[in-house]
This record gives sequence, C-alpha cells and structure tokens, in this order.
Amino acid sequence: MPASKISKDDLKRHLSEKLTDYTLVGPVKSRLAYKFDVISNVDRLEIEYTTTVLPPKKQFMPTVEPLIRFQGDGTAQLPLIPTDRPVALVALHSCDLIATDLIDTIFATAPGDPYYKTRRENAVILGVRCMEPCDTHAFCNAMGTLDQKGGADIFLTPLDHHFLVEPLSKKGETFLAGAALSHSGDEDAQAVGRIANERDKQFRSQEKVDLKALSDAMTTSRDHEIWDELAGECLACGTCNITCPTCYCFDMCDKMELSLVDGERRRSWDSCQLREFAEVAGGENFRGTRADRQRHRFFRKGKYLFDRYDLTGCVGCGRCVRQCVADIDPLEVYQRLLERRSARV
Amino acid sequence: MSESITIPEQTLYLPIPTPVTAVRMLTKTECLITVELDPDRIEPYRPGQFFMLSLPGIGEAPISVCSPPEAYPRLQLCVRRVGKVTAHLHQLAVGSTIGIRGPMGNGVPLEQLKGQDLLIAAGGLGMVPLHALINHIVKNRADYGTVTVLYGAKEPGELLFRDELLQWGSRGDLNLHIAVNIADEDWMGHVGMITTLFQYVSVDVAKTAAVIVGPPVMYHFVMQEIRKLNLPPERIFLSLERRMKCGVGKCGHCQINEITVCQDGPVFSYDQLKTLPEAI
Ligand SMILES: Cc1cc2nc3c(=O)[nH]c(=O)nc-3n(C[C@H](O)[C@H](O)[C@H](O)COP(=O)(O)OP(=O)(O)OC[C@H]3O[C@@H](n4cnc5c(N)ncnc54)[C@H](O)[C@@H]3O)c2cc1C
Ligand code: SF4
Ligand code: SF4
Ligand code: FES
Repeated sequence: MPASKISKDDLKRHLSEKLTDYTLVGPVKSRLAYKFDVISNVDRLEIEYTTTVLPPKKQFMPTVEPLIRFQGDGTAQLPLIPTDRPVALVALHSCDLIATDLIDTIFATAPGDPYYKTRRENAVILGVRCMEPCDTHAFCNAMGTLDQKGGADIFLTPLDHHFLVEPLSKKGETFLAGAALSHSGDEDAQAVGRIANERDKQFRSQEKVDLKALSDAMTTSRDHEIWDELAGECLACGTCNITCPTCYCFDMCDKMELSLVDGERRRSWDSCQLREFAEVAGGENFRGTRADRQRHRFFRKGKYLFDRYDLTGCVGCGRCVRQCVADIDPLEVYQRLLERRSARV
Repeated sequence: MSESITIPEQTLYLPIPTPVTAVRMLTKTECLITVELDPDRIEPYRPGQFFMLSLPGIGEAPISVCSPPEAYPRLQLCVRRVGKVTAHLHQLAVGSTIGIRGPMGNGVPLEQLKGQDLLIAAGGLGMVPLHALINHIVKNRADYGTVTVLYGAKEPGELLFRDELLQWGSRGDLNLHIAVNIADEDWMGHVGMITTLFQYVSVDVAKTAAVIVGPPVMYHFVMQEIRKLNLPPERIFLSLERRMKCGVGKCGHCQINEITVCQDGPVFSYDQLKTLPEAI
C-alpha cells in the first residue's frame, strides 16, 4: 500500500464531518491533565497529548455498568447496548493499543463478554505514534510497546504539519473514505526515523525489559525481600489498578430502585490491592497481606498474563507511577527482580 | 481435566429462572434446596461443577452441585448460611423461583476415575460436592473398584446427609469412616481429626485415585497423610474454593497465578497444584 498523509487541518475537517455518523471520543484537556471524552466540537480534540489519567478501557468497560436488569415479575433481562452509532476512539497511544489487545484477548474470546464485545465491535480505533516520551514516568520503550500498532484500525504518525496515515483494517478504510489523503514520500519516513531516534534517547531508561527473563525471574522471586518493602509503603488504596489500562478485574453487586421491585446487577472496577478481594467464607484469605497482594499485582503484570497469553501485562504507560502516593514504580520492581537473577547466573 | 461446557455469550451473566421444588434443613446451618432445571437452557452437570445462584437485588453465590448427574434436570444444592446471599437462600419457599447460571467449572474427571479404587476424603462442607460423586458411584458401582470414604466434621450435629451415611455404611461395598472433632453424648463413633481415619486406609497404589474436598486448613493435614500413601500426584484430585464473582473467567477474583479457578478448576490434580504457589 502506498504511504499516505493528510494535513493536520484536513484531518480535523475529516473528523468533524464524521461527527454526523460517528460518536467521537478522544483526549481533551481537563483542568490538570488529559482525559478521554465525547467530543462534539473537534477543536477540543488534542491528538498530540500526554497520556490521560484514566485509560481508554472505560470506553469498552465503563467504571460501573448494568449487566442484568430485574423486573418486578422476577425475570431478568440483558440491558441493551445501543449500537446505532459507531464510536470512533481517537488518538490512542501505542501503550493503550497493546493494552486493548490484551483485554480483547480476555473479554472478546469465548466465552466473550457480550457488553465489552458489543462496544468493542462498534468502535473504530485511531492510534497515534508518540513522537516524544509522555513524561519521565513512561517506560513503554522498555516494555516493547512503543511504536506498536496493536488493534488500531488506523495508525497516525504526527509530523510538523501533517499526519502519516496507515489504514490497518476494513473499518479503518471505511472511516477514511473521503479524507483528503495525499502521497507521502521517503522523506517523511526518514523524518520519522530521525525523530524517533532522538525520542528514544529521552526515555528514563534505555534498557529493554526482557519479558521472558522477567517471567522466569518472578518464578524464583516469590520470597524476594522486595514484597515486604513494597508492603511497607503501599497504602492498599487500589489507585494503581484503577489507572492501569491492563487491569480488568471487576466486582458485581445488586442495586435495587426505591420501589424494591426493579433493579440492576452491576459490575464495577475492582482492585486486587484491597483486602477483601480474595477473601472467602470463614475469613480465609489467600492474599491476606499487602506483600501477597503487591506480589500478585506485579506477577500479573510480568508473569501470569505473559505465561498464559504471551502478551505483556504491563505496557509501560506510567499511569500508576504518576498516581501512586507511595511512589511505587513497576519498572524499578522489574529491574530489581531481573538484577537478582543476573547476579545469580 | 475434562473440558468445560461452552456458555452462550448472551447468557454469560443472565440467571435462568428456575423453580424451587423442595427445601429441607439438614443441620442448623445447612439447608438442601432442590430445583428443576430447564433442560433447554441449562446443560447436564457433573460432580465437582458448581452453579451461580442468583437472587434479584441480593446477589449471587457459587454453590456446588450436590446431586449426582443422573438426577438431571433435577438439581440439589446444599447451602451453608454464612452471609447475605446464603441467608436469603435459606428463606426460599417451595414454589418460588431463583436464578441459576451454570454449570460452571471442570468438575471431577469421571473418565479418569473409572476402573480405579477410590479414596474419597470430605471435610465439613466438602461433603457437598462429594455427595454428588458418591451417589454417582453408588449408581454405577460396577464401574469402580474398592471405594473408601473418609468424612470429618467438627461435631455430630454438623454431619450432612445422615440418612444416606447410614445407607452407605450398611451397603457392604463402600468403606465409610466418619470422625468428629468433638463428640456429644450420643456419639458412638470415632473422635478425632479426619487425619486420624487414615489408620483404617490401605490402598493399592497401582490403581487408586483420591478425591479430596474440604476447607483450606484440611488440605495441609490431609495431604500429609495422602503423601504417605505414595499415590501418584496426577491421581490425587482436590477442589479449591476461591472468592468468585463472575464464574466465567473474567472478573479476576478467583485467579491464582495464571489459572482461573472458576474455569480451569475448581478441581485440580495435585500434580497441577504442587507447582502452583498460593493454591493450597
Ligand atoms: C466453587 C465453589 C463452590 C462452593 N460450594 C458451596 C456449597 O456447595 N455450599 C455452600 O454453602 N457454600 C459453597 N461455597 C461458598 C459460598 O459460595 C459462599 O459461602 C457464599 O458465596 C457466601 O455468600 P454470602 O453472600 O452469603 O456471604 P457474604 O455476606 O458475601 O460474606 C460472607 C463470607 O463469604 C465470603 N464470600 C463472599 N462472596 C464469596 C464468593 N463469591 N465465594 C466465596 N466466598 C465468598 C466473604 O468473604 C465472607 O467471608 C462455594 C464456593 C465456591 C467458590
Ligand atoms: S497506587 Fe500505590 S499505594 Fe495505592 S494500592 Fe497501588 S501501589 Fe499501593
Ligand atoms: S502497571 Fe502501571 S505502567 Fe504498567 S501498564 Fe499498568 S498503569 Fe501502566
Ligand atoms: S470468578 Fe470471575 S474469574 Fe473466576
């Protein structure tokens, strides 16, 4: 496929035209940071942005959503998810694209989660290449997600006045129909290479985390002193889970209306850092200490999901690092675990 | 491990309305609920599988299959009252309706047990899923060799299915040993932990499989005894209890390492669990 590009103004114009058929969701500036929001005026859209506080997974799995509606006669029904308008989810960074792949693997493969799948299939995703590190917390380069296109339908690369445009699926091509694309030559590709080179040097760590080695290191690190150290700092607030694009655990609880006749069974985002998460009847808790729960969190990121699905459970977005009051930093944890391993061999 | 049933996506979280046909208190804290499944919407079940029982506005609880597969589409469930959902389940009346999702999980690998001598150990509520298995064995007695059942409970009043225990004990083709930790005045049987029943057990290592279900503390002690018998780990099966919300591998609550107990389990061979930290 010949490479194409579109001027920044033309892309905005195209997105604006798409508003008649699509619900547009993308990054907007809120008071202190960026967030994904529904956009009715494309001037609010910030395609070149530093990462949002909450990940875009909320588009497919809202923080709280009904799974079942109860009626007065005791029967239950599935709530309908409207699909009359497709959603265009705009400007996902590579970390979030790879995270979307991971959650797709779990929620869209059999038995698929009907709510997630419906929303996911109803969406076209526009990814955007990061041309500089989001900040000093991001470590996507170390986790191998930087520049990845994951499940994007279209991938954009920003240059000075235009975006390089790569349609990656039928959905993406349909979305681009009518856009003012023009031919992009070798000089554009070379410019991207130059910028990427400069960009890579600015990340806080130049070293790649070897995912296989990390998983192996974790196998022998169950009793590592780091878990107790982290337990001493962690407040078990659960913020790391809520901000993480690859966390998907949820709780289910019933909410009745005042009539006590109609109501809903809802799911809401949950956190494995909370004490009750793994507690069963009789008070038995298989992860009763903070150390157990921190280990579970990081093993999930670095080992369990990787071993099972061959995908990284941490995409290096840095969101949890930015928000954690205890300054707990996954990259430092991974490096510590890998250090001991290399010291051993 | 036997394969899990595939659940149609649209009904992943949708409880199927199911009539309650009988309710009976077994002990002070456990009641036996009988329901009639809709065979068009709910597939046959196996011992070791479980169902999510749902009450609108109250919530859901995972409860083990208690009746043998032969009873399908009838299903029996034995519920201990420990909290919100289970307390409401105890108030169910005949003729009312509950929501049911399932069957879930892998269940006991019946095919692997066929032709083997069986050593079955039940601690407390562990008798619930094993009741399904033992009744299945009794109905297909010729398919199995020697069958030994060890059952431990805190006190005589906590013993489940007392009528059936008497029947099993008098069959002559089933070695039943019962222990209570604390006896009462009427108790004439063995007193002690379930582990003290192993003195009555002798197995033919070449053709014996063990199935053990009980609370987490029991596994530690019972496994010590089981190890002494030198059974191969792949012929020892345990059922794990974990907190469960979805039952279909999505919510993350039941995860141990890369395994989701609700889908990959709840029944595991000891071979699988040995290398699974946090499991038992
Ligand atoms: C595979 C499996 C099979 C089970 N089979 C049976 C059975 O046959 N009979 C029986 O009586 N019980 C069984 N249980 C346990 C039963 O599911 C819990 O006792 C029940 O969910 C508690 O719900 P509740 O609302 O009454 O209690 P709650 O008010 O929610 O809490 C009471 C206690 O139960 C724990 N708990 C809450 N939710 C769960 C949950 N989803 N899973 C486990 N523990 C939980 C809480 O941590 C608390 O300690 C089984 C559990 C599992 C995982
Ligand atoms: S955000 Fe930090 S303090 Fe809060 S639970 Fe996560 S690691 Fe612990
Ligand atoms: S663990 Fe932290 S850095 Fe890794 S993906 Fe989750 S939020 Fe991002
Ligand atoms: S109960 Fe939800 S993943 Fe097992």
